[in-house]
Amino acid sequence: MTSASGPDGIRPGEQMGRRYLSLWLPAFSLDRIERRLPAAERALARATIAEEKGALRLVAVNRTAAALGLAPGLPLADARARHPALAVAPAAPAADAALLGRLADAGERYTPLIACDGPDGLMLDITGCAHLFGGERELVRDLLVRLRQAGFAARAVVAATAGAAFALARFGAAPAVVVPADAGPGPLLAPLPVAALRLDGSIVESLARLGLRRIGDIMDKPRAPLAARFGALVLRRLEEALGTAPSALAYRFPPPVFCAERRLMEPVERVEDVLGLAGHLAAVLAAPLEQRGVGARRLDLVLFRVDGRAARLSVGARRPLRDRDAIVRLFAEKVAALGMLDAGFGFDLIRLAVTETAPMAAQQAGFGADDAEAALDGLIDRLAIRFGARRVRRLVCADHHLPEAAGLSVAAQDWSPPVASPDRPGLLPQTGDAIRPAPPDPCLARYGAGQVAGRHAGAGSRPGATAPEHAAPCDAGTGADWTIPPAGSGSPPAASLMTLADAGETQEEEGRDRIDCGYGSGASISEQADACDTKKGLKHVVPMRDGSGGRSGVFRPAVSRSRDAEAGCRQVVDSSTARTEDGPRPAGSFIRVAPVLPPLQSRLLQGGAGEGPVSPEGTAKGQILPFPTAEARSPDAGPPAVRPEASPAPELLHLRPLPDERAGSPAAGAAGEWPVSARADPQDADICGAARPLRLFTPPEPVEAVAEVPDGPPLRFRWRRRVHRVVRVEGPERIGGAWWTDDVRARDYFRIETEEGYRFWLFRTDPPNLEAAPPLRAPAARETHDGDPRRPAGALSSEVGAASCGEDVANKHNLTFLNEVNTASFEKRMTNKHVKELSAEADSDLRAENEVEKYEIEFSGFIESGKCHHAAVGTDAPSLAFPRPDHLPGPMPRHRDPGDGPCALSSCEKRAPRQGGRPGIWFLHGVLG
Amino acid sequence: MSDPSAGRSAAGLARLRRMIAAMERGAPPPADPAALWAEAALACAPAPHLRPPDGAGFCEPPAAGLLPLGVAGIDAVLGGGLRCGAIHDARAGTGSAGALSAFALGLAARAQAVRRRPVLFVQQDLAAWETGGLYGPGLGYLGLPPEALVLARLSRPQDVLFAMEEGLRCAALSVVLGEFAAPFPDALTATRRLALAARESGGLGFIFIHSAAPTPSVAATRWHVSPLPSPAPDGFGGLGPPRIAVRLVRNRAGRLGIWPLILQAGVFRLAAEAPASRGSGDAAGKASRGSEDAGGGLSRGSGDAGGRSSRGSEDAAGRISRGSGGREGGHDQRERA
Repeated sequence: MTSASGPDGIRPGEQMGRRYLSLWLPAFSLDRIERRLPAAERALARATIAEEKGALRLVAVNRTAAALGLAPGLPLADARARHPALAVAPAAPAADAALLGRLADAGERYTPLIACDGPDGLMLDITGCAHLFGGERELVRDLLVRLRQAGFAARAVVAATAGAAFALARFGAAPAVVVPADAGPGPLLAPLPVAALRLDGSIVESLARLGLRRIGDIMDKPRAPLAARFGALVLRRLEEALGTAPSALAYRFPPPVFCAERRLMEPVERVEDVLGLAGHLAAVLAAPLEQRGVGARRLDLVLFRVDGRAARLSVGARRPLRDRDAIVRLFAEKVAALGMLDAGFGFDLIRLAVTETAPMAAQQAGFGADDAEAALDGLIDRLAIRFGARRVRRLVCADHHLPEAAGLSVAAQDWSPPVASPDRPGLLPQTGDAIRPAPPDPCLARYGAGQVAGRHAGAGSRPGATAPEHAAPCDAGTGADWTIPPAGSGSPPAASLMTLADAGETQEEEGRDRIDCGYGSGASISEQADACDTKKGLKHVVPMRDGSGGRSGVFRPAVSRSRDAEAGCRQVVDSSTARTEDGPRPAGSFIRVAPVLPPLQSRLLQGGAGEGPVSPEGTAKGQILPFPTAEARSPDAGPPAVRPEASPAPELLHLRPLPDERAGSPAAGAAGEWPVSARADPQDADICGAARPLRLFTPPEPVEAVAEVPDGPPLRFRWRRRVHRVVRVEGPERIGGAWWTDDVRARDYFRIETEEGYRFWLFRTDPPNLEAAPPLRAPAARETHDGDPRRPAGALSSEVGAASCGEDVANKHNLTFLNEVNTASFEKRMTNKHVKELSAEADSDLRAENEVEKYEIEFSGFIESGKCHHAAVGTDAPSLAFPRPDHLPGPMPRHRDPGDGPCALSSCEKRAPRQGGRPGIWFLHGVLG
Repeated sequence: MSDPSAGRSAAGLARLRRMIAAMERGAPPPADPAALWAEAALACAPAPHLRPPDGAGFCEPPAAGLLPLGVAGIDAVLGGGLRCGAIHDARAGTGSAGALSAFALGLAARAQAVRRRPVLFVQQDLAAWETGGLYGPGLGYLGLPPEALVLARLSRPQDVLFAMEEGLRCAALSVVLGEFAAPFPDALTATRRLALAARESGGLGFIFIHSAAPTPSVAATRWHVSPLPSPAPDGFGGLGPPRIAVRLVRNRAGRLGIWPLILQAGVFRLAAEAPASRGSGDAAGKASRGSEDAGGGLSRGSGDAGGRSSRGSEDAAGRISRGSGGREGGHDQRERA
C-alpha cells in the first residue's frame, strides 16, 4: 500500500497520488485463438492473416512463429515458402475488440476506472484500490495469474503516470514492474526507445535520423527546437509520461460517484443472495449519500463471476433514492426483466456503484399528497427497468414551428414536471417543498447569478413574447436573496418556473461546493475509505468522483474545481451520454417544459366534477377528487357530472372560461404552453375542429392525391391502397420549411374529411413534389419544335399540355391550364405531324385512369371528342384532327366552366365527378380525431 | 323472474361466482367442493330478488366508482357511468383510428379531470406505426393535458398487457389505456387478469383495439366506434369537431345502444342533428341507420334528465336502438353484428 494518497502527499498543482496499471497482452489475437487449443497445437507456429494491398499478409504471429523469423507484414506466400507448416487463421479485429471488452469488464474487479488502451492493452487506474489486494504487487500478481489461467500472455506495470506505465509495459525489460510512487519515472524511461511515447512512426523515424532514439536522448534536450522541428506532440507525450502534464483517459464507464463492494469467500449463485447483498451494499452507500444530501438516480450492480466474466445490471430511478428496499426492488425488477441471472460457478465479487445522483432533501412521508407521486414514480421505474428507459416516455412541448418538432417526448425518468400552479393542483408534484432558499453564500450568489444570466442570454433568442417573464428570475438571480415566490403569489408561473429551475440547479451547485469545502481535496475520503476498510475488512467505500477530480481539473482553482473536473471528466469519459447530471431538468435546453393548459383543465373540472366553478382554494390542497360512488348518488341528485342534456350549449357556456378569467389566468400567456387549438375558444368550438391531429405519422406518409387546381385542396387521394374522396376541407395552413436544413419547402396543410368521415391532416409541399410522377420529356418535345425558327420555345410546354389533353403534362410543367390558354396566343401553325409527335410523347408519360377512345384537336375552336369537349388554343390554324393512340389511355381532364377565363373553354358535357384534377404526391401527416 | 327455477339457478350462479371470485382473490379453494356444491344447491331458494338489478352478481368492486360520460343517455344505460374497477373495451374498424383514439382519449381526459392523476397510455409498437404516434399539441384539444400522459410503447401485446396490469395495480393513475393493433391471443385470460387487477385497486382500465374482429374479453362494456361525417357547419365546407358514433355492443350492467357524439375539450355531447346521410361509407351508414332506429329524436331524448336511475328509464333510453337489456342482449347484438 502506498502512502502517496495520504493527506500529506497531496500537493496542489501536481498530479499526485494516482497509480496506473498498464496491461499489455503481447500476443492477444493469437492467444484468443490458441487458448482454446490443446497444448500440442499451441506449440505450432501460427499467424493471423488479412488481405492487404491485394495480398494475404501476416497480421500477428505467435512466439513460435516469431522465433522462426516470421514477422507481421510478411506475405503469406513468403511465410509458407519458408515454413510450410505455418498454421494460419483469419484476423478478426472485431472479435479481438469484443474479447478485450470482456477482459476489461472482468478487470473491473480491481478498479472501476478501466480503459481499453489500443487493440491489445488495458489501462487501470488503481488509485486507492491496491490495499484491498494486499498491495500493488499482490494486485499485479493476482491479475497476471488470472490472465495466465485464462490463457493470455500479459505484462503489467504500475506507475505514477499512464504514459510511463504504458511505455514500461511495452518496452520495459521485466514483464511485471511496480514503480514505487516516490520514484520518478525518468530514470526508468530514459533507456526506452522513443516509440514508447506513443509517437507516430514518422516522428520516430525523423527523430532517429537525428540520432534521438531513446527517451533519455530527448529528455534533456532544449524544448523549443524539439517542438519546432517535431511538433508539440513529442513534448506533450514526454510530459505526460513524466507526470508534469495531466493526461486524460477514456474510461469504459463513467466513474461512479460512490461505490461499495463485497468480496465473498464463498461464491453466491442464488438471486435472493445477490439481491440481499445488493441491499447490504445499498445500506452501506446510504450514509455517504445522505451526508452529501443526494440520492442515487442511476445505479450499477456489477457481478463478477468466478470464471472471469462480469454482468452489469444498470437501473435508473425517477426520483433520487437512498432507501435500501427501494434499491433492491429496482434490481429485483431488473433481474425479473432479464429472466435469469447466469451465475456460472457463482459470483465472488459484487459491487454497487452510484453513477448518477440528484439532490434529495429529507421529506416527510405519509401525508398523502406525495404518496401518489411516489407510486407513479415507482411504476415508471418498474416499466423503464423492464422495457428500457426509452420505452416509457412523457410528452413535452418544444418551441418549434414544424409540427413534427413541436410535439416531442422525453424519457419519463428524465422528465421534469412543470411547476405546480394554483389552478393545477394535485396532478403536479409539489416541487416547491424541496426547494429551499439557499444560504446567502457570496460565492454561491455569484455562481447562481452567472448561471441565470447565461440562461437568459440564451433565452433571448426565443420568441420575444417570453422575454418579459424572464426578467423576474433575472432579478431574483442577481439579488442576494434566493427566496422563491410561493406558487400562487403574484409572480407569473412562467417566471416561477424559470426561477424554480434555476434555483434547483443552483441549489445543486451549492451542494457541490459545500461538498468541496467539506471533503477538501480528497484526503478525508481516503481516510474514510481506510477506516471503513479496516473496520469492515472486506468492504470499502470510494467516492470516486472527488478522488478523480484531480485528473483533469487539477490546476483549477479550488472553488470551481469540482464542477470543472466533473464536466471535463464527463467529456472525457462519455461525451455522448445524454443522461443529465444536473438534477431532474432535462439536458436539452431547447426543450421547454412549461405549464400546460390551466384554463382548459379548470374548464374540465368545472364540467366534470362540480356544479359550479371549482374554486382554486378548494382544490389547491392537492386533494384527489373521488369518483362519485353509486351509494352517494340518489335519484334526485344524480351524479354531479351528468348534466341535463336538454341544452348542451349551456353546458359549454358554463364550461367556457370568461375572457377576463382567461386573460388573468397566470399561465395563460406562458410561453411554451401547449397549443390547444388554433381556434380553441369554445365559443366557436362548434364550427371548428382541432387544428392539430391526435396522431402524427413520422415521417409523413406519401399519398397520391389529386387536386383541382394547383393551389387547391385535394379532391381525392390514395393512401394505403385505398382511395379516399374528400368532401370537406379546411385550409390551407402554410407552415414554412426548415430553411436551415436541406428541405426548405413550405408546406400547405389541409384538414380534410373523407366521405366516410375519416379526418386527416394532409400537406403538399411548395414547390410540389415531382419525384414520384414521371417527368415529361420536355427536351425531346422542344427539339421537335426547335426546328421551326418562327416558334418561340417558351410557348411549347403549354402547347404540349393543351394538345395532349393531359393535365399531367401541364402539372409536370407547373403550369395551370388556364394559363396555357391565356398565354398561348400562337401565331404559328402547328402541323399535324407535330401534334402527333407531341401527343405520343406526352401520352407515353400519362398514367392510365380513363379510357378515352379518341381525341380530336381543333385549333381555333373546341376539341371534340367522343365524350366531352376540350379547350384548345385558338389560332388561325385550320382544323386538324388525329386519332389518339388506342393503347395509351390517359386521364380525362376536367375543365373550368366557360366564362371563367377570357378564352373560350368548354365545359364537360358529361362531367365525370371527381375524375379530373392534378395528381401529385402529397403527404399524410396526421389523423384528426 | 317469476319462474322459481330461474331464481334458483340465478342464485346458485351468483354463489358460484362469489366462490370463484374469492378463490381468485387468493382465498383457499373450498375444502370439500362437493359439500359446498350441495350448500350452494341448498341456497338456491326461490328468492326472486336475489339477483341485483344490475345483474352483476359477483363483480362488486371494493372501491365502487363511476366515471360519467356526461351524456345522460349513455350514463343511464351504464348505470351512472363507466364503472371503475373494471376493464372496458373499444374497437373500431380499419381506418377509424382517429375516431377510436378520440373516444378513448376523451374518456381518459374525463377520468383525468375527475381524478386529477396521470394517465398511463400503453401502446403497442404496431399500433403506433399503423395509426401514428400520439401528438401532444393535438391532445390538448380533447382536454387531455399532454403532461398528464405517461406513454409506454412496447413491442409485444403481452408486454402491453403486463404494463397495463402494473398500471392498474398502481393507485396513482386515473386511467390505464392499452392500445392494440389487432386482437391479442388468449384474450380472455389476459383481460381476466386485468379485470382482477382493476377490481383490487379500483382502477379504470381501457383497452382499445384497431380491429373490429370480435374476440372474447371480460370487459364490463364494449364499444364500437366509427367516425361520423360532419354536418356542414357553414357554407364553406369546413370541418367540425370530432364526431363519432359509439355503439355499445356489450354491457354487463344494462342495455345497449348507439349514440352519435361530439367531442370537444374533453366533453362528450350528443350530436345535435342526425348525421348527414351520405349513403356511402360503411360506418356512416351504420351510424345513421342506428340513429334512425332510435326514433330520430336525438335532441329530444337528450333533454331528458330523469334517466339517471340505475335501471335506466325507457324514455331516456329512447335512443337505444336494439337489445332488450342485460347480457342476453349483448349476445344478440354480437351475433347480429
